Amino acid sequence: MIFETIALVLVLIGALLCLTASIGLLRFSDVPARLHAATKPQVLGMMVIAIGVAVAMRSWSTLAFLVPIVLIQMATAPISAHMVARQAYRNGSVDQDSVVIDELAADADVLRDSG
Amino acid sequence: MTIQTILIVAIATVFAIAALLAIIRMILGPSILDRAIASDVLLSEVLCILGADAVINQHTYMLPVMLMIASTGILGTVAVARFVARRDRARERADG
Repeated sequence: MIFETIALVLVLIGALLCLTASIGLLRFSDVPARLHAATKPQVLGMMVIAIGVAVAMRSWSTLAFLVPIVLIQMATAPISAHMVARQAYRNGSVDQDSVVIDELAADADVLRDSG
Repeated sequence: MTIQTILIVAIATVFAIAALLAIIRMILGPSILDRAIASDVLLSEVLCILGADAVINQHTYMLPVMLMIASTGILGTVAVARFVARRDRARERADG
C-alpha cells in the first residue's frame, strides 16, 4: 500500500514535469526556446515515472526493461533536438537579437563557401 | 475516497491538460519545426502515460511498447528536419 502511494506520487511528479514542458512549448516565442522547454522536462519526467514503475513492481525483470527505456530516451532526445535546432538556425527561425554569441555563423560561412 | 483515488484523478487531469496544450501548439504552428517539436512532446507524453498506466493498473504489458516508442520516436522528428533541409537547399540553388 505504501509502495503504491509512493509510486503514484512519483508518477504525479512526472506528469507535472510533462505539464511544464507543454506550458513552455505554448508560451515561449521561437524555436530554440520551445526546444529548451520541451526536451529537458520530458526526459526528467520520463526518468521519474520509470522510477515510479520500478517502485510499484519491485521486480528485477521490470527493472531490466526500464533501464534500456531510460537510456534510449536519453540517447535519442538530444539527437532530434539537435537536428531541429540546426534546421531552425538555417531557416532563419532563430531571433538574431536574442543571440549573444553566434559561434555557428563562422562555421556556416565556411560550409557555404566550400559547397 | 482514498488518497490513491485522489492521486489517480490528479495524474489524469495533469496529463490531459499537458496533451491539450501540446495539441494547441501543434495546431497554431507557425512553422513546421514547431509542429515537429510539439509532436515529439506529445509522443513523450504517450510514453509517460503508458508508464502511469503500468503503475495504476499494476501490470507490465506495456513495457515493450514503451521500449519501442522510446527507440523509434526519434524518426518522425528527424525526417521532418531533413525534409525542411532539402526544400531549403533547393530554394537556395534556384536563387543562385
